[in-house]
Formats: sequence, C-alpha cells, structure tokens
Amino acid sequence: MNLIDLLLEPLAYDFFVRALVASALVGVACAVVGSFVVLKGMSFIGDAVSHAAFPGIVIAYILGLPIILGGAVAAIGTALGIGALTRRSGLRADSIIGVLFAGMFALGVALFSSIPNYVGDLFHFLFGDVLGISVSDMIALSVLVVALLLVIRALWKELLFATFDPLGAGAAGIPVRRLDNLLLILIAVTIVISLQAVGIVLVVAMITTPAATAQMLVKRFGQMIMVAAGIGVSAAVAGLYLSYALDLASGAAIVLVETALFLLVLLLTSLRGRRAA
Amino acid sequence: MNERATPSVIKGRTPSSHVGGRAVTISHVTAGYGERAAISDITLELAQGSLTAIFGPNGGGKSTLLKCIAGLMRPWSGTIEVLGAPVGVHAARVAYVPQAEQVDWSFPIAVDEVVAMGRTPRIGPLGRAGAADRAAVAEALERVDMADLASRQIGELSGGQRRRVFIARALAADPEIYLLDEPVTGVDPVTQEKIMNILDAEAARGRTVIATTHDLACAAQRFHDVVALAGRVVAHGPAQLVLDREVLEKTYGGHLVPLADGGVVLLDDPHHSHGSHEGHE
Amino acid sequence: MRLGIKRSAWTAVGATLASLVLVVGCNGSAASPSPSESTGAAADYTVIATTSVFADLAQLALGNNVAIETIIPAGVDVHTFEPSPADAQKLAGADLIVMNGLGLDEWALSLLEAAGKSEEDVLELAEGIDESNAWVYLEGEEHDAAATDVHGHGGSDPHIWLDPKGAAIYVDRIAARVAAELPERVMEIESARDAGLAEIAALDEELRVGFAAVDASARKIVTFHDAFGYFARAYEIEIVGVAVEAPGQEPSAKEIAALIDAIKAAGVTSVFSEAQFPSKVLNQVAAETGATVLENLYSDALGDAPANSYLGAMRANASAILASFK
Repeated sequence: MNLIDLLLEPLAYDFFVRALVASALVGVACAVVGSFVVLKGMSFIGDAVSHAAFPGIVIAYILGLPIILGGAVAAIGTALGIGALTRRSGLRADSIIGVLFAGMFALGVALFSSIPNYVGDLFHFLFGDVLGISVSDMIALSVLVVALLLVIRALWKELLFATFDPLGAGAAGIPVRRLDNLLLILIAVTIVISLQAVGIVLVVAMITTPAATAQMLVKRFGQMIMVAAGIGVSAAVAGLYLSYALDLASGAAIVLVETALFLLVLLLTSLRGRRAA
Repeated sequence: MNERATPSVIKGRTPSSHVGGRAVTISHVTAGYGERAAISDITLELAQGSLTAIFGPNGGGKSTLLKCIAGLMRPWSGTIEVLGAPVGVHAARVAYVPQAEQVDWSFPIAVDEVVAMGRTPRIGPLGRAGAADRAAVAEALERVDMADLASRQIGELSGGQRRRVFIARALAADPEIYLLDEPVTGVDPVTQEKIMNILDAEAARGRTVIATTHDLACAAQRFHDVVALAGRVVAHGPAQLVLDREVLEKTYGGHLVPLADGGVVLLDDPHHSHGSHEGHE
Repeated sequence: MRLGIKRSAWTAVGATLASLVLVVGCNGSAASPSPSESTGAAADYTVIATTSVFADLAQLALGNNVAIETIIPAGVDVHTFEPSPADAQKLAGADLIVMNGLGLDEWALSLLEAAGKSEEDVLELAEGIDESNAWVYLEGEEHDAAATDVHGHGGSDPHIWLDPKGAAIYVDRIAARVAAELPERVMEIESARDAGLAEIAALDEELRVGFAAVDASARKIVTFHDAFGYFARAYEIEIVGVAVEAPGQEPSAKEIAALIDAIKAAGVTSVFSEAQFPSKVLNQVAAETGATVLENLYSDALGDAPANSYLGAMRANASAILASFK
C-alpha cells in the first residue's frame, strides 16, 4: 500500500474528514491566539482558563443548557477575573492564577461527582472527542474560528502595539486595558471551542507549542503568526493521521506531533547557533 | 547644526515663550505611587515649539510628570491640558518614547515593525497601512540611520540602535508633541548626537519636545529651556538656568559636594533612588 | 480602593458558595441510592435484591406476600455504582439477598461481612441453572475478574433474564427458595409465582411472534455490550460483533472506521449502545451508515414507566428494536 492510498483511506469516512477539518481549524485558532499568549508570557493563564471551563460545563450539563455556553461563561469570567485581580490586588499574578485554576477545577470535579449517572459526554471535555463531532458542531466551529481570525486581523496593529509596549500604546491613545480584556476573551473563546478537539488538559499545548516553535524560526511577528498557524494546521492533520494509523487518542497525537516539532526546531536552532559561534 | 557651548559660556537662546501657543498646561498637579507623592503642586506651561529638558534628582518626579502628561498616570489632584484639551483627547498627536528597559527585547519583532507601530493611531482601528504610512516609516528609519537594519530583530540591536528605533517610531507618528523619558541616557555619544539633532530639527519645525534627563551638560547645551524638578518646580526658564548654582542647590540639595577651589561637584547616581518609585512602574 | 475590592471579592465568593450548595444539594440526594419503597404487606420477611430488575422479578415470583427492596434503584447506572456503608446496613435487615452472580454484582458479596450476613443468606440467580433447567450459558466478556475464580464458570454471560425463559427460571428459583423458608405461605407464593410465570410466558410469545415477522436478513444488530446475547439467541437475531479494544475508553479512529465498515457490510440497521461507547461518536456513525442507534435499552436496570417493571422494560426494548429493523 503506497503513501497515497494510506492518506486516502481514512478520507472515505465522513467522521474522519470532519475531525480533520475541525482539528485543523482549532490548530489555526489556537496558534494565532497562542502567539499573543506566548509573547505576553500568559501560558499559565491559558491552562488556568481551560481548567476553569470545567465547572461551567458541568453546571450547564446539570441545568440542561448547552455545554459550550457554560464553558464559555466560566472561561471568559475566569479570564477577565484574572485580568482584574492581577491589576488591582497586591498579590502576584501567578498566585492568583494558581488559586483560581485549582479552585475552579476542584469545583468542577465536586459538581461532576454529584451527578449520579455515567456521563460519557463530559469525560470527553477533559480529553477531547473530535471523532464524534457532528456536522452542525463543525459548522459552528468554523464560524467561530473565522470570526476570531477576523477580529484579530481587524485589530491586529492595536493588539501588537498594546502587547509589545503598553506604555507607548497607552500614551498614543490606544485603549490598552480594553485590548487586554479583549485578548483575554479571545483566549477564553478559543479555548472553549478547542475543547472539543483536544480537551481541557491538552488545549494549553495547542496554544503554546506552535507559537513557541515559530518564535525560534522567524524574527518578525507577522511571520511568527503565519508560521505558528502553519504548524498548528499541519500538526493537526499529521496527528490525526497518526492516531488513525497507530490507534492513538487523537488529541494526544496532535499535541505529541507539535511537541516533537518544537524539540526538533530547538535542536536545530541550537546546533546552528553553536556552529555560528 | 548647533555649536557646542562650553559650560562657562552662556549662549543666549530665544526664550521659547515667544515661539507659539501653549502645548502643555499643568495646573497644581500632585501625583505619586501608593501613599507617596512624587510631585506636588506642579504648575507649568510649556509652549508649542519649545525644546525643554526636565532635570532633577532621582525620585524628583521627572518620569512621573512625563507619564502624567502622556496620560499613563492619573494625577491625584490638579489638571493637565495637552493641546488645549484634557489629557487623552489628542493622544494620537502625542508620541511617548519610554525608557528602553521597559520592553521585552526577545519579542520576535523587526525594526520596521516597531517603527510602523507609530502609525497605528493615525491609521485607526480596522484600517490598513497605506503608501503614506509606509513612506513615513521609511523616512523615519532614514532619519535615525537605521534603514539598512530594518529587518533586524530588535534583540539583535545595540543599546544605541534600540533607542534610535523608538525615536523612529515617534517620528513615524508625526506627532505635535514628543515626550521622551531619558532619551540620551545610557547611549554612546554618537547616538546621543544623532538623537539630539533630530529633536532639534523637530523643534525647529514647530513641534514641541519635552524630555527628561540626568545629563546636565546635554540639558545646558542642546535644549532651549529647562525645568528643574525636585518634587516641585524649582525653576523653569532658559537652558542656562541648569548651571545656576542656586538652582542646582535647591534642586539637588545634598548631592552637591563642594570642592576645594570653591566649585561644586554634583553627585547624582542615576541608579540610586531616594525612596520614591521614579523610573519604576 | 482596597476595601472596595475586598467587599466585592467576598460577595463573589459567597455567591459562588451559595450556588454550589444549591446545585450539589439538588443532585446530592440522588448521589447515594436511597432505599426504595417496600412493597407493603408482610413486612416481617424482607427480600433485598441488588438491582431493580431482580426486585421486580422477585415481585413477579412472590406477589405481595413479602417485603421486597432493592439496593440500586431504577435509573441509576449499575456500572458505576459504588456500594456504601449505608448499603451494608440495609442488607443487614434482609432475610434473603437476591443477586445475579456470574460477576455482575459481586459487590454484594463484599458487603456480606459488614452486613453481618453469610453466603447462606444469598440466592445467586444465575448460578448452576444449566444443570436443573437445561439452560445453555453463552460466553460473556470479562465482567469482573473475580467471578472466574470464585465460581469457576470462567466468563459466562450473566444477562440471563433478558431471555424471558431465563427470567422464568429466576422467578421459579426465587419462589422456591422463599417458599422453603416460609412453609406457612407456600400456597400464596405458589399462586403468585404461577401468575408471574404466565405473564412472562405471554411476553415471550408476544416477542417471538413480533420478531419472526421480520425478515431474517434484516434481523441483525451491532452491540458493544454482551447484554443482549441471550435475547438475540431467543429471537434469532444475528449479532454482528465488533471488537472494541477497551470498552468505555475513547475508541480510536480505526475502531470507528471498522465499525462503519462492519455495519455497512452486514447491512445492519440497528446498533445497540450503552455507556460503553461514546454516544456522540455513535451518532456520527449512525449518520454515516444510516443505522439507528438504540441508546436507551433496558438491560441491567429498569427505568421510568412504562419501563419500571420487567415486563414493561422488555416490551419497550422490543418495540424500539423492531422499529429499528428496516
């Protein structure tokens, strides 16, 4: 069986094609948002927000509301809360984030354990369930990702300025705090829509790793985002195919591909550096 | 362009109050951090087209005052008007060049991307950069002699080059007022010269330049006016004031060390703070 | 400024705690199984069954002549059930403990000591019925590793009651056992038993006719759980088996592809699912193959009316399954 056949075989199944599209979209969205997250040193916040979505999901499930809605409310609320608390209180940012992170997740676990019946769907929010994505889910995902990318494209210059030099940007009349909050909301939304693909535990990797890899390869921010997005898409596709071929969990396979790529680039760039020195 | 004056020769320069209208009006402003006021009851008027250096000891409130004018800090009391309106209204016509230490140099961003940021307020949200913006960026890079390093990542630059990039960003913005926090501190003399030439040129075009500095010689030689700031306004007037002994004593207080021949030496360690948060945010 | 933060922070904490209490409170009552209602009359002899199914079969066997209770009430997932000390206490009040055996509900045996009971107080319905009843066991999945050691049946499918003939055997055994212990009520028990057996026989005939009316080529199902083996055997339904590596775990892309292929190849239109296979994935499989996924079949537990009795649950299963055959 040659390579072409190997690549075409899984495409005969609708569920695989949908999973591929969904994962690729999630890969792009996470990588683009992740570029800002990595540069602001906010990866910890990313992990906290993804875990904070859990109680929102459980509560929505208990109340019979759409799970995504609960997750989004919890994620956005936590993200903005982190922003506000770090700005105002005297505590260090990582303490606040750590407290919220663990507390929210514990709340989710406590609520989850109070549900008497087996709840398979909830489990998948921890580790992803992209193989079960429906057509309507995929359409909703596409719309959200496109909207996200449009927002970033529209406010690109302002976001860059505010991220790189908040003082200079503020002095130039750019609403830095509002953009900070917007970025937090974008991060939260990206996380929530990505939960389907890779789950709460792994989404931070999809946000951080492609951007961290891209940062080692290019010098311009504009290029960094494009490279990160490219990595996000290719890792998603490669990971999904690998999961098919080797019977691995799909979300984990994608993250492993991204991590391997990161390590490879790290190795190559440090070798290059040593040779040049 | 401007000849160097030796400290003992005071060159008369036109007091800038004759040049134009008011660029910045500060009225009874008190501001600080936490519980401590860095500046108290500051009243000051800076005219358009002036080239003013604000000097004084660390902890004297120089950065604080600049940040208040830039709208980055809110005064506890008093008012500030910039170009005839409250702070913030005309923010797009003001360019603030921060002290370089406050930026993350490992940011993967190229020189021309940083300079292009200066055009952001002009382009506005949802807008895209056009030919005029690209031309402004190119010209700004030329003026600071960084055109051939346009694609360099900022982390690869020397201290002086980094400073010039931020100056270029301000130039690209084509503002009416430049606020510069220690623009010539910590850079080599060649870069200092380049920067001061640019600031001179901008003032000559009618732009208002306000800079804080530790460097008294630079203040005396290259600026038109000075403000002596030690928590309050000690003096405001032509640049030769910076060499006035009485002004220096009132401004620097215990930092002046008398010499045997009757002169004084000013000891003002730029890294020693008098307990205020000057220079930190 | 500081005070303002503190106040709003405490309000937020308080509100969160309040809502947490509310939500947990609403669910908490369902978390531990509560004792089901006793069936009324003759509370001096108590039969406690492990699940709602066996409790209802006991009711068919014994009528109102004894008190019947259940540990796991209807609607609670028997697969994720964890017995609590309260359950052991409940068992302490039983005169007869009715369980299935064959690895299905071994947890009941582990509660005996805490309940102060011995194996003599227990009736294991599925054990040894082949000898006296000419029953043929089917091979089952590894329900519980302990089962193979304890009873030496080495992995037989325990879901005997899903074949009405097996349920009839259960009813018989329950009645016989209780009658032996309550000789003074033999007459009433036997008459209740006979009525129950008659109803089960009627059910069996009803189902037999219903399924025979379906063409053999359409009488196929895909299932992941070994529950319906005896049922399928009874009504000549072909089970198209699909191997799932680790039931309950996330199925891999290949497994899903294999499932789709198997369904299409066999022309199956009916897929049985329980908690073992994620429903979201199964729904997509159904969409891709045109099969119907039956998720709410009653196997290990009863549900809400009309499936709150064995007969009702069996009829509900049958009509859903028949509807899915095309």
